[in-house]
This record gives sequence, structure tokens and C-alpha cells, in this order.
Amino acid sequence: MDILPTVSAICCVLGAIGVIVHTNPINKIIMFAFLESGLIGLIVSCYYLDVAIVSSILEPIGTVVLLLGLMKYEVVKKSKKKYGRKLPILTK
Amino acid sequence: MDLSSIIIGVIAVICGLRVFLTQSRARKLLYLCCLNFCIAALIALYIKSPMGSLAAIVYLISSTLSSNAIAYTLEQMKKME
Repeated sequence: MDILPTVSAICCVLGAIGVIVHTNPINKIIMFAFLESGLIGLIVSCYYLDVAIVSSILEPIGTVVLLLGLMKYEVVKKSKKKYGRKLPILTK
Repeated sequence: MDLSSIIIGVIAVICGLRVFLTQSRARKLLYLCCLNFCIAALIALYIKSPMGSLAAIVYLISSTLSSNAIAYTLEQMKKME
């Protein structure tokens, strides 16, 4: 019964529930970062250190790509220009 | 099972619950950063070798970058409205 796998598993489960429950896109991305912290803790608790280092470097890149997509979506939704295709509906 | 690991684990669980339950978004970022620091400390305490400390350092830097990127985007969205 070690303390790091326990805390990481709790973070993973709570983050997964939070991604489903929250409806605001920024809240969803915050919960996604919360899930990733638990994921790296679980990788380290199995002694895969090199995988954990590479995964730690690559995680902010995924978060930044998601945030850029969100900002572009908001800009297109607020502009008055009529586009040819309809925008996809992300949230209600 | 050190005493320090148990204390940091309790702080991490409390911070996780507060990230889940708080309504304000800026406060959520604050508690998320606190939880990332807690997990970096637990990594450094769990693995007793130099490689563990290196993994903890890399994780600390990258998680702080991620939280700051979310905070910057929140500011931009507030400026857009």
C-alpha cells in the first residue's frame, strides 16, 4: 500500500468524471490536465522513468494545441462573417 | 511509508477534491498547480535514485508550463468579450 499509486489513481478517476460532467470548454481542459497528472504518477509508480520523462515533455504540447483550437473556435463564432459551412456544435 | 509521504498525500487528495468542486476558474488553476507540486514531491520521494530526481524536475517544469498556458488563454478569452 504505497502512497503514490493511490493518489495517482484517485486523480485519474476524478479527472475522468470531471471531463464528462463539466460543460464549459475551459473547465474540460482544466480537468484534462488534472487527469494527466495522475497518469504520470501511475507511470512512475511502475518504474518506467524514461517513458515518464518523455511523456512529461509531450503533455504541455497537447494542452497548447487544444487551447489554440479553442481560441480559434471562439474567434470564428464571434465574428459576423458568413462562412460557407456550418460550425460544429461543441457545447450547448 | 514515511511520515512526509503521508502528509503530502493528504494535501494532494484535498487539493484534488477542491479542483473538482470549486466554481471559480482562476482558483481551479491555483489548486491544480498545488497538486502538480505535490505529485512532483511524491515522485522524488518514491524513487531513491538520481533518475527519479531528474524525472521530478522535468515533470515540475512541464506541468507549470501547462498551467500557465491555460491561465493565459483564460485571460485572452476574458479580453475578447
